[in-house]
Amino acid sequence: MSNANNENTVSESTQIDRKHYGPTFPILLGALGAWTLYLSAQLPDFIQRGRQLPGPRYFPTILGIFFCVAAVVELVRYLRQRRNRTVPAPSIRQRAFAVMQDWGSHSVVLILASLIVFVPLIRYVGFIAGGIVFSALVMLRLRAKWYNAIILSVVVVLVIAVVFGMLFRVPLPRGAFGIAL
Amino acid sequence: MDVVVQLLHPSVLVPWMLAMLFGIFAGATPGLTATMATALIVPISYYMSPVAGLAMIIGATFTAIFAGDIPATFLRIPGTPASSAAILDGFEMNRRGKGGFALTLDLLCSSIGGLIGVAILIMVAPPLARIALRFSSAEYFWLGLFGLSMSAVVSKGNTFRGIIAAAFGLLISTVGMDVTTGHPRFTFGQLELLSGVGFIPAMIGLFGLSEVLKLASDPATLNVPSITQSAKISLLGALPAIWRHKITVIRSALIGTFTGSLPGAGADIAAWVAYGVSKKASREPEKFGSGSEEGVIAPTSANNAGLAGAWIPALVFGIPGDAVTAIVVGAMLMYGLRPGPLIFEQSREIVDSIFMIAVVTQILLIGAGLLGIRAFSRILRLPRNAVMVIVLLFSAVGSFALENSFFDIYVMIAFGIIGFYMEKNDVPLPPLILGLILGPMVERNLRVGLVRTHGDFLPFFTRPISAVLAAALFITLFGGPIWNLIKGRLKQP
Repeated sequence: MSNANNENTVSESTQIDRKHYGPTFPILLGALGAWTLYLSAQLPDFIQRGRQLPGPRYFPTILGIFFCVAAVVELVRYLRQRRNRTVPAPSIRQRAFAVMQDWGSHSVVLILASLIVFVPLIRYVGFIAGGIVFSALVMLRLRAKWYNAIILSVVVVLVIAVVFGMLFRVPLPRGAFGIAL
Repeated sequence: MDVVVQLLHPSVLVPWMLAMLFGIFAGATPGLTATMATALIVPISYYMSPVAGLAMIIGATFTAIFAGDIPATFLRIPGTPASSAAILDGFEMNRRGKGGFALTLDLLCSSIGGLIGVAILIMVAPPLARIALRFSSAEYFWLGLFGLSMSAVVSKGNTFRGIIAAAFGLLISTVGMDVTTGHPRFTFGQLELLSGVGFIPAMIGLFGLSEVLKLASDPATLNVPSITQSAKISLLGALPAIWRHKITVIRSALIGTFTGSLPGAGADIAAWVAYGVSKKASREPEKFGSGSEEGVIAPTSANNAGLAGAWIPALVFGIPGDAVTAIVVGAMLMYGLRPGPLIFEQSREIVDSIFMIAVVTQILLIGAGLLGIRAFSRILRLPRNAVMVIVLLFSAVGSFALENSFFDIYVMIAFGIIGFYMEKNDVPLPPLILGLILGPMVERNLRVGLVRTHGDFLPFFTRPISAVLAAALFITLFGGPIWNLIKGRLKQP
C-alpha cells in the first residue's frame, strides 16, 4: 500500500515538473506579438473613395494584439505556478546545463545541423552521394550498427531516387559529379 | 459507370493499392501517423490526376487509421493517436493469447464503421452543400473561426495554447501577397515567400520532422524493433462476436461520424467518446479495460467512421475536420479543386469519385489489413532509428519535389523546429495547420464583409445564421469555464 502511495506521489511530482515550462514561452510570445505589430505598422493603408477600409495591416494587427495579450496571460500563469511550487524550480542556468549534458538534446541539434548541411551537400555532390552520407551519419548517431547504417542508407536513397527521380521525373540534384537516376 | 471505369484504370488503381499498403506500413509503425502518411503521399500524388491523387490519400489514411491498432494490440504502443483507445482491451486480449482475434475483430469493425461513416457522408453532404450556398462572407468568417476554436478546444493539451497555435497559423497564412491589394507582407525580400509559406513543406516539418526530433531525444527506444510476435487470424471466428455486439458497432460508428464531423475533433477523440459511451451503455461495464470484446469493437468502429465524418465539413464548407482532412483540403487546392458547396455543382464527377473510392477502400481494407497483420506479426520490424532516417529523407525530398525548391527544405526544417518546440510546451499542432489552411478564408471574408458594410461589424451578428455561428463560437470558447463557475457557486453553502 505504501509502495503504491509512493508511486503515486512520484508520478504526480513528475507531472508537475513536466508541466513546469519556465518563462521562455511567454517571452517568445510577447516578442512575436511586438514584432508582428511593428511589421504591420509598416504596411500601407487601404483607402478607397476617401474612406479608410480594412487593408493589409488590419488582420495582422489584430493577431499582434492577441499575441501580446496571450503573452501577459501566459506570464501570469507562469508566475502563479512558480509561487505555488513546493520544490524550487531549476534556474535557467541549471536548465541550460541539463540540456547541454543530455544525449537526446545533442541528437536533436545534430540532426537539425546535418539537415541544414544536407541542402548544400546534395547541391554539390548530388542527391545519391549526399543522401547516403547524410543518412549513414544520422543512423550512426542514432546508435545503429555501422554495417546496418551503410546498407540501409544505400537501399533507402536508391529507392527514393528511383521513385522520385525516375517515376515522377523530379529533377533531383546531380551535383558536380553529375550522378543521378 | 464512368466513375467506375475511371477508378479501374491502372493509372488510378495501382497507386491506390500501393498507397493502401503504404498506409498499413505507416499506421503500424510507431512514430509514423496517418497524418504523416498523408503528408508524405501528397508530394507524390502531385504528379498524378486529381482522382488518382485522392484515391492514394483516401486509401492511405483509412488503412493507416486501422493499422495503428496493430502495434496498439501487440505492443501497447498506438501506431497513430486514433489507436490510443484501442490499447485498453486489445492489448489485454493479446496478453491472454487472443491478439489475432482482437485484431480480426478490430479490422472488421473498422471496415463496417468506415462504411457507415461514408454512407452518412454521401447522404448528408449534398443537402448540406445546398444550404451552404446561401452563406455570405459573415457566415464563412464565423464558420472559419468556429472551426479553429473547436480544433483548439478538443485538441490534446491546454485549450488556451490551442487558440495560440491557431492564431499562429493565421499569422503564417498572412505571409505573401495581400489577398485584396496585392501588397507583399512579411516576405523580407524573399521572392519564394511572395506566394506564401508552402503548405506541404510546413506540414511535413510539423508532423514529420518534429516527430523524428521527439524520438531522437529519447535514446532508450532507438534500437527497439516494432513487432516480434505472430498471431492467428480467423475472419469467420470474429463474425459471431460482431453479431452479438451489433448495436455497439452501429452506435459507435454513428458517434464516430458525428464526432469526426466536428471541426478539429478527429478520429482519436471519436474513438474515446465511443469507448466511453459503450462502457456506460454496456451490461458488463466492469469488463472494460480487461480484454472485453465490446472494448475492442467500440473504439475501432468509431475511428474509421470519424475519418469519414471529418470529410463532411471539409467537402461541404472547405473546413477540415481534423489534421488529415486539413492536408486533404490543401492537396485539393493544389489539384485545382476548391472544396466548398460549389464543388458539388462544378466538379460533381470528382465528388462521386471520392464517394466511390471511400466505399471501395472500406472493402479493400479487409484484404490490406489481413496482409498487414500477418506481415507485422511475423517479421521482426525495422528498428526505430532506421524508420527515423527514412522519414527524414522522405521529408526532405518530399518538400523539394513539389516546386523543385531548396528553399522549401529550409521551410520544412523551420516548421520541424517550431513543431518540436510547440509539442514540448503542450501547444497542440492541429490548430496551427488549420489556421494556416483557414487563414486566407477567414481574413478574406472578414475584410470583404467589412468593405460591404462600410466598416460596420453589426451585420456579422444580426444575420440569422451568422448569429447562430457566433453564439456557437462563444459557447465553444466560454461555455465550459462559465458552467464550471456556476457549478462552483451553486456548491458553495
